[in-house]
Amino acid sequence: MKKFKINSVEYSIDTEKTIFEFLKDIGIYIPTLCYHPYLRPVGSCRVCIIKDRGKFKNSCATFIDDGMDIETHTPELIEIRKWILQFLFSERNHYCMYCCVTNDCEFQNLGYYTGLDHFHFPTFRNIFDIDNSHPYILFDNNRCVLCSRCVRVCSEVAGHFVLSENNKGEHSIIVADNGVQFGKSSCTSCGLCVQVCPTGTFVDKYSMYLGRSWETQKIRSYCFSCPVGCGIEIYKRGNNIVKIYSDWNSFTKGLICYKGRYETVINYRKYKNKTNIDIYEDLNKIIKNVDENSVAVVDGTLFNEEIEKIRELFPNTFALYKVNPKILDNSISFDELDNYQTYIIAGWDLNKEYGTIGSIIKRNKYYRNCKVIYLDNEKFEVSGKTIFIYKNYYDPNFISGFIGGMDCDHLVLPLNTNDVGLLKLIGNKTLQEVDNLKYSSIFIFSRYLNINISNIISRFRRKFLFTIDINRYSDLFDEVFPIVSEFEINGSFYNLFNQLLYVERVFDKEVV
Amino acid sequence: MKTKKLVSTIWCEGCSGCHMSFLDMDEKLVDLIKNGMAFSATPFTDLKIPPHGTDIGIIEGSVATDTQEEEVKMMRERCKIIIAMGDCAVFGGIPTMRNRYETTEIFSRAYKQAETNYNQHLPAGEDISKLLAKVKPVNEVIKVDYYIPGCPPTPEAIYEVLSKLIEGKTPELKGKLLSYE
Repeated sequence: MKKFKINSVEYSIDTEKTIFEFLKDIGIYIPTLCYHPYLRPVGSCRVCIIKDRGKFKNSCATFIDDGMDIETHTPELIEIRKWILQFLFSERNHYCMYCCVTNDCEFQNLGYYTGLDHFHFPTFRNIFDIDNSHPYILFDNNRCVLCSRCVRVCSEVAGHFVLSENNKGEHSIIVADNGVQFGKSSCTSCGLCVQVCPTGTFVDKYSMYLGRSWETQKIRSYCFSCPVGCGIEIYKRGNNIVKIYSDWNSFTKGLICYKGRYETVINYRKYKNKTNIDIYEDLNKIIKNVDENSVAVVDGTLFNEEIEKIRELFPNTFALYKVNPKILDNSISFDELDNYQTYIIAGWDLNKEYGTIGSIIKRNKYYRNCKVIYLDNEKFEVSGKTIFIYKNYYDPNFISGFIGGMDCDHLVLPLNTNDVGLLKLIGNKTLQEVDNLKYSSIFIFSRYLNINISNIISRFRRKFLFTIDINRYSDLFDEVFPIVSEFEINGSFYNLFNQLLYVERVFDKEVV
Repeated sequence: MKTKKLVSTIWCEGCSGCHMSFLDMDEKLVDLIKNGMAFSATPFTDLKIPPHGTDIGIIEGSVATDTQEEEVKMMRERCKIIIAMGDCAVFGGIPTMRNRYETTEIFSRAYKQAETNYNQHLPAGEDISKLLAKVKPVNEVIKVDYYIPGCPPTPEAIYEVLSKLIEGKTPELKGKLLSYE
């Protein structure tokens, strides 16, 4: 039991807690800058300064101890916080009116909170180059306050270890890969640095000037761009997605990759207002009579509800997989992925696909000294609890040759987002097994068609496609129908951990 | 009858937006004048030099030339209270963007390389002010008593400061009145 005083009021706790956390619990606000609730505290900015028995301490990184006598808001402390902010403000380019995050900036809000109305010191002393080489992120060291949130999130959470600090004192800068251009670095564009940056140092090029956080509506959902199904927050304004952030409170705990954060937004804007068919609601109106010569083919880029609707309408419904899915019954959960000592990886790139799983493996390799084995290594030895992670469309003979008799868990990565749901609903009834002489018409349903089907469909006389990109396949089919994007319907899907995730409708579909 | 508080304003390296915001006080200007404010030298009255002993001097814009430096110093000598109005006067603002470059580079870009410039003559003459090497906020040249940041500051913020000063109180900008943009 630790007994201590805060502003002359006595408290006691049993657990280990920092002063800042305790103050937050009892409702005393202390301004913070480098502190972030999901990162380890470093106490670098000193804005959260408090006084304990005559000594100044930073509350975010100091644990409560027996006998502390803490003062939080004396005139002296308020004045010191104002001076600390002045040092930070005047060190670099913090002219709010030419910054794209103004009015949506944690640092600016601190200035308002402390009533800072001018700087005592000359500004703009060091000028750094602006790095615009990254495809998605604008990186400007001139606006940096060196809180190191980006460095911490890049290593602790995302496991990429791209960002670090360089130089000393007022010349300190954030660099990628020890000083190469951001766009040429090993950055995987997960964008977590943008999400945690309290200033405009890291900015999304695709969302700047489209709306501040408080002007947008925030919708919690799940990413539909790969079978992991990370928790996301969609920031919507009007009929546009301003940005997508990862959801710290979801099962993926803030992890996200470039597909979820940037590619879905770019895709949505590309197909916006060009598609209008909701399979669940409109399919009955388009297809009135289904004869016995027709066959429907569905792939994993559709939601469960859509697949059920198609199955209801077509007596002959088949599934489309990249390869025959014999094994898609992953029994481990997302949280359990952190518990392994050896990770064996076959056929996929940690940085390019299933980025969230890649992040977990990379940070475990560094922080827990785990072993990561790529299957192109010819000889290897495993130790401890082992997991084997591979795509289900990787050559099965090759995999069984490697893991024959080895005691390890499996995580199979399907190609399409809802392949697990497709297997549950339609099963192993795949098109390759169909007697093609029996049917004359084929209806293919695929939101993002990414499996080569030209050989299969050539055998049919009449061919129809329901997809989002109607121009891409128009020459292969008799008719192509535009179906709405994943943001315009309510739906559910199974991710690769067998979790059923619900996606809320973000936009009403456009009447074209 | 109360004595009138004389207010004088000047306009240095700025866009005059702050003066527009000042005029945007509209009927509140009448309130201020009723409560004892009077204008001496301002761009509104088209007078340049305030008399000695002016009560309140308001400066818009940053200090970018030697003339502006002299004008600002003259304001300090002649006014009892100096207010820096707007982001340029308080922080340096948009004109400080040129601090990245040498003055020769700036002249060359503006008068020689500019696409619409056919004569390619640098402006010369004794009457033309010289550019300072760096653009400075007002408080780097003289002592400033009160600051109204904003680009431009809202009429409410300007009214708040002036009305408090006329009543003899100390103004403080809080909440929505304090804005950097």
